Amino acid sequence: MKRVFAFIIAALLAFLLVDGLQLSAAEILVQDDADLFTAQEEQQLQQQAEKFEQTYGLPVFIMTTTELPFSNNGARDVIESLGESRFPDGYVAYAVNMSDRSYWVDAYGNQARSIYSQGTLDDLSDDLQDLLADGQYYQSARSFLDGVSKRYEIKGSKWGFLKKPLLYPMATAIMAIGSGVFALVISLIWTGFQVKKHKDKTLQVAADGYGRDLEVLREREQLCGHYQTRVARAESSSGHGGSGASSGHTGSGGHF
Amino acid sequence: MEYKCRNCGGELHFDPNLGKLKCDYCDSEYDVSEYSEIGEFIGQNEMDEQIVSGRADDGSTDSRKDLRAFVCPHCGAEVISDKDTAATTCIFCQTPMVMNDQLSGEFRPDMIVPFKIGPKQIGKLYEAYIASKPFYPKEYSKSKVIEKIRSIYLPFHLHNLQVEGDVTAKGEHTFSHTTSKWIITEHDVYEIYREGKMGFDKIPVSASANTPKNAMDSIEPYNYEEMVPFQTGFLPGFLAQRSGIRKEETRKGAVERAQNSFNNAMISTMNGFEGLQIKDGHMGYEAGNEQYVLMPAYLLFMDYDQHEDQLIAINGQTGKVVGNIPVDKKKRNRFFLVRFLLIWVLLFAVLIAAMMLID
Repeated sequence: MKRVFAFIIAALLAFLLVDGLQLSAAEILVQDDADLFTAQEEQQLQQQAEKFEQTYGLPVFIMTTTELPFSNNGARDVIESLGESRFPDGYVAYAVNMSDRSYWVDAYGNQARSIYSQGTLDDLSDDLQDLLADGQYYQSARSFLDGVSKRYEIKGSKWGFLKKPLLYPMATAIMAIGSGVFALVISLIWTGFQVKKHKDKTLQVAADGYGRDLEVLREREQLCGHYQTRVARAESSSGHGGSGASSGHTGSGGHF
Repeated sequence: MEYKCRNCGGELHFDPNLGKLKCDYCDSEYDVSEYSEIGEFIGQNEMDEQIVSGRADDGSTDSRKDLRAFVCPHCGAEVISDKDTAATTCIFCQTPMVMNDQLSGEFRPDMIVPFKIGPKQIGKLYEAYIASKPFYPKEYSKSKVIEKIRSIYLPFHLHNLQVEGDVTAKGEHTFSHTTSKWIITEHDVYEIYREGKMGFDKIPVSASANTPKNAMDSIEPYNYEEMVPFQTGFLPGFLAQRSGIRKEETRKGAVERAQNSFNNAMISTMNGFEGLQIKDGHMGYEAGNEQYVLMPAYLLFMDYDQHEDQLIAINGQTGKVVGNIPVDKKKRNRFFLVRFLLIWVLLFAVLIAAMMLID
């Protein structure tokens, strides 16, 4: 009996130890090989990423690297291969590759891709590019985590869309102020029109209702000059952007 | 002079809805022409008259100057009226009176447009009118003003004019074509000359010395087809004013209006030219027949918060109402605030909904 009891205890300890090792392995969610973050920043990002995973059950990871690229976007090369092997059930990730100064935001797996559409990742990618161009790597990583968190809040549940105004307070405030200014202008114009209705009296300056038809006695039109004006034709311009990903992935990125 | 019923001796008044003289006591009706032709101005009493100061008590004017007092031939009461008053009503016994001496000689009108809108219709017309003014003060509500509305024949001069003249202008015809680099516009510049003439019939100009011109201009037009030769039989029951301005003075206003219309008509013949610039022009006119006519109107003089434009006028033939109604600031501010808040809330709600629903 003692043996059985000892075996059960040993088995439980072994299970907890192994599970704990697996958990601690999965908790490495920020991998800063390019050394873009300070130790404190890395720790803060790690904590935020862990919190995300605990809250939503979807792994999120951030990595920076200096590996040489084998396609036109080195960040995508790294994130897609590493992500699939580490999180085969799905993830959302952000990578920066300093060798070709590329970055990529990637969503993998059915759950992640149902929440992070191409449009969402494009918007997120655009926001990150500005920060990366300014050398604000930590801010870009924070912005990525904030963006994916807000997106999960909105798309992760049936009524999540109701949280959108609270999750984007700046946009909500701009809409409140904008609609207030618009309402003010419209109300002023409307009131002005109503006030104008109070005045009917006008001095008559013409006698159109009392005149017979005009009788033209003489008329002449003589060409007396000619000149030319010219305006340069407008030239058209065009721009381009980039997105897309490998099979099973939805992603967006570029260079900074 | 009073108009008395041949049947019962009661006072007659002109009924706009019937277009006849009517006795309120026995309901007898008389054609104006028939009555005048017979010449039965029963009780054609002389009315004593003297110049006084104070305030008119028959509603004929707000002025405190140039007033006259008449003695009512029916009850003997003194009625104070404007010096240009040609018909009025005794404020004590409501007897309609016509002052013959005010309508004789040079003051006798050539024509008259009889009242077509009766006092009973005025209430509805005014109510509809004031309802279209969203911020009217409560002092302007129908119940508070209906008793103050006075029916009056106002003097007008109708001017016939022939305007002649010429206009010289510069204008352009343009056409454009494009090359690989340029959009080129060719401008052909023309000197345009027009000479013409235009006739104007019966341009009305108010000949009343104490009625604002903008109100009289605004109640135009009158339908001249219903204009008839003047007879005093149209006046009983109404106030009437004789002309206080000479025809030569009112003609200036008519000429100005006619010349503006002539000028506009001349320029309209230059349609098709762009960038028209008038360079020169000459105009002259020839005055034709001028008629002195009494036109029907209802007037309401308001004394509200020192509002400078106090007159509301109603065309007594067509029912057109004009006035510059003061704005009740409380009503206006409430209107603004409610709209502002409603639009704001609605718009914000729409934007938030769009924000939440758009992926």
